[in-house]
Amino acid sequence: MTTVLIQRDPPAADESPDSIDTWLAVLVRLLHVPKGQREAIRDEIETHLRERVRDLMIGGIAEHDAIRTAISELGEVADLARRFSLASKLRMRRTIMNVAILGVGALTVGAATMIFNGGGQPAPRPSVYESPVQAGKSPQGAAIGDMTLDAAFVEQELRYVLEFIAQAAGLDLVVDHRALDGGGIALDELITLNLTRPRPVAQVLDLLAAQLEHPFAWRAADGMLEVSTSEVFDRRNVVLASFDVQNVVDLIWSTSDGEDDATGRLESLIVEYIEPEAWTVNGGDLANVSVVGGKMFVKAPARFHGPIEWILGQLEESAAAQASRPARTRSALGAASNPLGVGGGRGFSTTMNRASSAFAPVVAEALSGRGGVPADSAAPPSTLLPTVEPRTTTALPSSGGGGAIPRPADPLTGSPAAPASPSAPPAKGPEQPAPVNEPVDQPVDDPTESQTGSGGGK
Amino acid sequence: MPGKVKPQRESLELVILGVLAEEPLYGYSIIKRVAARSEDAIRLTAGVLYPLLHELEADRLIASTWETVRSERAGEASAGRKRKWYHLTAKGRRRLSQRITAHRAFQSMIEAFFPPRADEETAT
Repeated sequence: MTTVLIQRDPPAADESPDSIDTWLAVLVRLLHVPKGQREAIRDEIETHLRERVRDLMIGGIAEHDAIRTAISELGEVADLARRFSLASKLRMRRTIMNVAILGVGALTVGAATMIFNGGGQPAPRPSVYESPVQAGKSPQGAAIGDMTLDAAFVEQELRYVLEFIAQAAGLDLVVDHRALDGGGIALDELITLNLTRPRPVAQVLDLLAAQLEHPFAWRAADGMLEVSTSEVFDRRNVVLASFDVQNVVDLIWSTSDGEDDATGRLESLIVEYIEPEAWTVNGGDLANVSVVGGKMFVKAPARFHGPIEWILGQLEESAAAQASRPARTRSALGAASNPLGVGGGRGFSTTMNRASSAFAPVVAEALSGRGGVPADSAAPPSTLLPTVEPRTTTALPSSGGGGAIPRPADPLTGSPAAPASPSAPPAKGPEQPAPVNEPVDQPVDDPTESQTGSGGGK
Repeated sequence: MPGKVKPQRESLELVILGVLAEEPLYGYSIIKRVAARSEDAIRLTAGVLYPLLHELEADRLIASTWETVRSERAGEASAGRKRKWYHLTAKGRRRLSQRITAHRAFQSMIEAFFPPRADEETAT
């Protein structure tokens, strides 16, 4: 609802740029919230300040002092910005949950449409990202994925349910109490789950987690069923990877009608659609993305890389479709995107030359915590892990030590590998990146069978 | 006038939900309403109130609408300032009811340990 109200004006000091504007500019700079929220907060606080100043001045206080008083009542600007940022994180978590619910609804509607269209042409279907776990094709072999469970839990405490499942699966239960407490997950929460037929243990764990206001996350590996928060597992599985995005950047640049911040738009796209609150640009501390020199570098939990790859694949399809258009169309597009006709710039021909590249990311072993092997099978190992071995793999220090970057040992000689250059072309022959979604053999140092669940998101 | 009090977050939440249960209010008017109702004993500071309002909104306990406030001196072309009105949601109403019940139960339990007041002593 938007209504317009005519307000009797204060005696003065309402329009001209003043210290309120300056203070608001500082606040806005410090806010780690999405842009729309930033503007809303600014509007709300500005209105508050102007009205407060008006009241103080009506009470006989000089304008300068009134402004100072009104601003001081808001407290330290950095502290205020931090409080708003925390509130925004809560809002984003809620939004993500709602989007997940809407997603299920959309799939249901899609199914209904197919039924009604049964006799005619198949309706156009969207390309939908499916995580390996959702698709039931976890390449890690599934320590518990093949096991099923037939049980009914009626108002049982979560701790006993988990103990029962671990025992049934022959696993040791390891509970990260501190993380669960911090995440607001109570083990004495009462669970009711009535299975009418045997279900995979992984699915049962996900159903249990989904019952809680703050879902737990789990991981089954090395004979253990670990229960913690998704944040803990994510921090263990941070992966630095690079993606070749030159085609995509060119595509965005050539189709955005003069928009010159194609790399920024690509970064925003990734951040907007994949767990927005995790990214540093939104005040998170789990993930970072930068596009530099035709490469997109992403340091994020392993499970983020699959969706990223999928989004880039979609854009790559668009780039390839543009590249296959008739020459006249291409020329027109190229002229539009390069009005000065400067050769070697971001013309459309550049895109064409690179249209066939795949989006298999190059992964650096910058993994935190447990020795640098992504154990989270929710990531798409078929595309991530095979590229770990040869190409331009570089082992980064797990913490900022400032020393030389250690390199992985050559698997044949045991001596340090040759220096890896981010700009080096991909190796030929067997070291070529695997096509997207094509199963490839496990790497030598692959972790033991493991499967991880996030409990239906945060 | 009672002395100044600095309410805890839970109490603040109760106070805010309480005043919004009566009618929709915007941030500054909440501050004034709470000060008036408590005879100036509870003074919400803007730096605490606004982030808390955003938290309550994220938690779907309150919802908001925007109003454009046009200044008398500003011309027709002026866009005007924006004022954000908050109102209680059904979830917020339920939360308020639960909080009031819990608060009253706690209060009566604690009062059982208080010595009787002077007027009550003389009555007995």
